[in-house]
Amino acid sequence: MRWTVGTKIGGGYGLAISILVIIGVATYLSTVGYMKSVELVVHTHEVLAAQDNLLSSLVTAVSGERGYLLTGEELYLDPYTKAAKTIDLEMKHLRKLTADNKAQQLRLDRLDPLIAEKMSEMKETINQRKSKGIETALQMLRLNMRKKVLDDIIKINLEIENTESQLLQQRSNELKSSARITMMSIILGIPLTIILLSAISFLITRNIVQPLRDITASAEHIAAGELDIPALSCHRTDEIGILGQAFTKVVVSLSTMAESAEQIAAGDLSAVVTPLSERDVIRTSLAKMIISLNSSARIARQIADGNLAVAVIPQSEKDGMGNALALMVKNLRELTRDIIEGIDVLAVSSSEIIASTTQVASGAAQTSAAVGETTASVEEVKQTAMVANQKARNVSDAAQKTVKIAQGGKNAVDDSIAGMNRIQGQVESIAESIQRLSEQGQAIGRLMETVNDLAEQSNLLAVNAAIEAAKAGDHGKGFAVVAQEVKSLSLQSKEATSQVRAILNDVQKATNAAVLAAEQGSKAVDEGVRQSKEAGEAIRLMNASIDESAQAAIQIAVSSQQQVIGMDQVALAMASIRQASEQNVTGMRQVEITVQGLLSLGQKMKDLVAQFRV
Amino acid sequence: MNVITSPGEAERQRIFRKRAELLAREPEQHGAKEQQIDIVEFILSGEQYAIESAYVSGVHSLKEFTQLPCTPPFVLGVVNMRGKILSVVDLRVFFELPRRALSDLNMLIVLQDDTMKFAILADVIVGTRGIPRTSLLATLPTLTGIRAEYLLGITPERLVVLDGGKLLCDSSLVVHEEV
Repeated sequence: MRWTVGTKIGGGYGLAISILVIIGVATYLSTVGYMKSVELVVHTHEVLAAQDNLLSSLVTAVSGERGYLLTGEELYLDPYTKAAKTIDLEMKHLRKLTADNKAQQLRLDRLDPLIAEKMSEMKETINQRKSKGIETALQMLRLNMRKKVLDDIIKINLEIENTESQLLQQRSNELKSSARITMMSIILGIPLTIILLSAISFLITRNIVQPLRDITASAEHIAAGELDIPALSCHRTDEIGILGQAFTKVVVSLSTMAESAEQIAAGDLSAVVTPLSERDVIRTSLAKMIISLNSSARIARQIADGNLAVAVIPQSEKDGMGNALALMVKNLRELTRDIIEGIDVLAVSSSEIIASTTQVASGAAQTSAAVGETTASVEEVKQTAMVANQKARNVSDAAQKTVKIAQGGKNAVDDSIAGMNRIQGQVESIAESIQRLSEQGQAIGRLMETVNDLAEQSNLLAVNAAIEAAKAGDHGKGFAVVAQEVKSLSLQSKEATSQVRAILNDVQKATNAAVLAAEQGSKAVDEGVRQSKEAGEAIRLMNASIDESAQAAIQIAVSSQQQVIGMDQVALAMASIRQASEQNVTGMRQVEITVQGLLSLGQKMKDLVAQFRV
Repeated sequence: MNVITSPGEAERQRIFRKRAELLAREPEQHGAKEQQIDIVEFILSGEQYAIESAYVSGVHSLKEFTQLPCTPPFVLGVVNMRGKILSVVDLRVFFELPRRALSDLNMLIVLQDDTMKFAILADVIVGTRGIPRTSLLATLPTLTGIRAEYLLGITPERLVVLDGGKLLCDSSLVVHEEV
């Protein structure tokens, strides 16, 4: 293929355009033929319509004439006169339409006189009807009927119609074939064009796009930093071939630079990079990088030799390496100074630690002695705690006894309350008894009234008896003595009743006093019950507090027991402390030795740090 | 406190002795029998009065009485005495004695003779005894009017003895009034 890419794309587009032109011309031609056929068909239909109109006008004229003949009314003449006017025009129109057809013209020539005859005939008949009446007109009509002029006219019309129908059939067939040709040209032409254009576009795409894709993939590889890409086909002479060759050069150049960078990365600062031109930015930068790295290496070597006074000047603020080196030197300087100071402090501290250790050792010895004394004290405390425990137990026992006694007291108070209640009941019954006694005394008083009354009556009786006796004279003397005796008896009774009354009064007073005393006794008993209840409550409270005391005493006994046990544990602990303090003394000696070693270590470090020049 | 007991032996003996002495006493003026009169002694408004037993039918206690309207003030009322209606005369009106309120202890002395029967009011009946007619003194000059009219005499013990016969016969006591 000698063609360039442009030529290929142009040729493809040209082929496509020429196919489109061919299909368009063919379609146009067939469409024009189709339209002509359509016009012819329309013409034929017009001829048929004109012929039909002619015939119908004639028939209308005839029917109008007949209507008039039959009725004699002018109204029926309207269709006739209209048809008579239009028939001529329609005849002319038909002639004009069939001007291109000789056979039809000849038929029209034949038809013309026949129509004229028929029209004149009808006109005459109408005139006859107007002037001479219906009979003459009908006679004339019968005469005219025999001439068959109308049949001839219809016959010629039928011929014209048949000829035009044949022509219409012929033209319709032509129309159909013309339409089929147009359809075929469209149906076959468009798929053929699509297939052809697809094939051409496929070929062009394969020839141009595939190599471009390959190159694009390679470029993406390079952008990702991969340089080991497959070699591109460079045998083409067109634009794509040239692009491939340039790409291969790029890859080679990048490969050499990558090798140089790899050498530098491996720490080989002897690599030589020469720029290809002044504008070769990458190689110039590489060369500068090598120089910068070399100077950094030199500084690092000096630092390693202990020269911390070396000056590091960063190339710019963004110079990470230079800044880092400068910071490192600065930090190392400070660090070294700190170390020196630290070592000094270490030496001093070591000396102080030795002194302290000695003191601690002597302190530990003192502690040991003190622990011994403490152990003895603990033993004494333990003895005391045991005595306290014994006492607490005694107290607890005593508290238990007190609880029992308090319970007894409570029971006694309850009994006394019950007794008080009984006394109250009895006092009340006494009061009731005395009340009854008083009432009975009053009853006796009433009885005494009666007795007094009786004495009075007896007295009266005695007086009456004495009166009767006096009336009886000497015979009544003895009776008067009896009456006197009765009178004295009644007086004695009266005295006795007055005595009884006095005694009763005394009894009444005494019972009243007794009732009062009983009421007071009842109140006193109430008070006694209340006080007993208060006493019971007090004893109950006392009982509760004694219970609490007993509980507390028991707790004290238990806790003093625990105290004794705790003192035992303290004694054990003191022994352990003693042992530990002895071990401390030993440990302090070892610490002293260790600190001596520390001191010598400080001296050694001082010597080492002196190597650095700050 | 006094205790009611049966009288002791000494007391009994004392009583018996006293009665024996009373019985053994010689009646006064035993010889002048006809001059002796029996009287019923009574007390009216604190003053001692007496009346001859011969005119006394009996003594009774005043239980209940019915006041009569339209009667003079000396008529206290009427009483039902064993089924007989007796008028009661209050002598205090005649004797101008203070009228105390009546009580159950008020007594009635029924006076009776052959023609008349009524009761007089008394506070206390003292008893009956006989007195010699000669011992009766004439009326005192201080007693005038109706008192003097009804008086029989006065004993030396200042006992006013009323004349029952005069009382019974006094027509001024008969009330005959119509309203």
